[in-house]
Amino acid sequence: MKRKGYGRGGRNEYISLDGLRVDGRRPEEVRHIACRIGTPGNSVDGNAYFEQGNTRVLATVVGPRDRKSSTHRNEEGMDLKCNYSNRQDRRSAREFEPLLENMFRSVILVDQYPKSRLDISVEVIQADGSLLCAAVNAISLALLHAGVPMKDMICAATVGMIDGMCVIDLNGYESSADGPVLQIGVLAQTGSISLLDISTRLSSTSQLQEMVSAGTEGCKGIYAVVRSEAHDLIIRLASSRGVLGA
Amino acid sequence: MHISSTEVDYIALGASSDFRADGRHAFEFRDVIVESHLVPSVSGSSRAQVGGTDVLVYVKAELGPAQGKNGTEGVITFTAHYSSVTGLDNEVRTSNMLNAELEESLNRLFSEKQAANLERLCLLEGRVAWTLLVDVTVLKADGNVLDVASFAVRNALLSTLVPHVEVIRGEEGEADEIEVDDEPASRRLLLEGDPPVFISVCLLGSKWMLDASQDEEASMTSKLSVGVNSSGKVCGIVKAGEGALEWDGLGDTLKTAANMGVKIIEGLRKVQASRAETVGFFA
Repeated sequence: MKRKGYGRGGRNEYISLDGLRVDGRRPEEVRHIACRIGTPGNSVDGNAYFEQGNTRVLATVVGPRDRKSSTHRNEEGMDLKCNYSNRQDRRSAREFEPLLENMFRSVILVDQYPKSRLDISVEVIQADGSLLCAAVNAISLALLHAGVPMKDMICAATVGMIDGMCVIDLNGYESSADGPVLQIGVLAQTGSISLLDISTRLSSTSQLQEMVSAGTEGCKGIYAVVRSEAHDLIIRLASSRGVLGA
Repeated sequence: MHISSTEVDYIALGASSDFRADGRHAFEFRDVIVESHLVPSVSGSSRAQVGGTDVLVYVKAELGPAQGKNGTEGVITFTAHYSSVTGLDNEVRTSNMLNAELEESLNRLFSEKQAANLERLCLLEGRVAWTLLVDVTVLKADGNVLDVASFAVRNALLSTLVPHVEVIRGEEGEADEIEVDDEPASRRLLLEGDPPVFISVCLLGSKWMLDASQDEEASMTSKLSVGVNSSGKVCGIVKAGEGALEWDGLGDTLKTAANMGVKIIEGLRKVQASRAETVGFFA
């Protein structure tokens, strides 16, 4: 069976002559984002759903709570466990879990919760590229919902360099293009970088600079959407408690 | 799930006066929401929600060797997992008991000849047939997971679309040639028929009840999961829980379960036929 555009021999086209990508986006355009903090009927402490194009993830947070296991990895601070599951690609969990754990340990005020633990779980419902970033964004929202104290929110985006052009938010097809792919996580308020992961060799540092600044812009866009959802949540909570008038 | 003995007493007392924590009667089901065609990247998908239980099912269709005695059948295999997003205790969740129980119950329900018309899956006798990999993911668990999973499985199987495939038998010693039609419009529904669903009844004290919630399941003594098809025939029974059962009155209980099964399947059929607008995911 031969499919057009998927052949291994010939070069695939990722950017058309008009400068548009396979799904019709401009290079700096992020796919449609939909998210929801606190999905209905859920009994865990915090949960959120995040959708970016056809990538859909669900994240939940349980804790902070008393840790009962005898494995005291961290006597003073909080034990943070991350559980990532993608039914289509089971190998990625081992790669992503430590990354996510370290990233969120740096923003959560772990010192405030000695001898406690926090469980973060992510389930990939549908995969179409930029999975790690979608997971980061979903977890940020779930932590917010659980009321876990954080220094800042992390927003993440993928940046690729295809045919000499910086493209943001790669979909599944674009992820298979050869060329450097950068995963960048940015603290939304301060703009400092908490995740920087490059898969292949870069030709120059100026290229990196270009990708980082494009990624930061992308993260800002994502943060705007996420922030408005967080805002909605606060309005919902406030009105359900009668703080706001009808 | 830990539950105190007073809570157990409270639930059992409620059951004996036919009144449950959420206001239902003993043989009342929570609202069932099913939808299909949610995930375009797989052959079939479905999501079923009953109360706080939420199950997602994917069907992946692959070509494999024909199975069965005469090589005239395809295969349906199940894998199930309780997602970590359920918030269940990790030790409980990863003990594999939960996953294995769900997986085995579904595998056995569908090992029955009439459950799915496996011969429809065969493309070339003795050579090529469809292999359906059914992946069950529990997103939220609030009791009665097996039933909800079986609703989603039924829905997903019946909405599985596969491309038109032509298999040309290869010459002696050569591989068969397989032609796949790329045209999305030529996809067809793979299965027709009447996959059964599970209806579980739980025994609390001396009372039976349908569609137990998580708390009720934690305080039950035993549970019967009855496989029912659309004509109300019992296709299999799985017993779970620690308690022993009395033979008397069991027939009536099975009948209640079977009747509920018929009703549920009728509802599932309506949803399937109406191609109702999907609720979609959470946002």
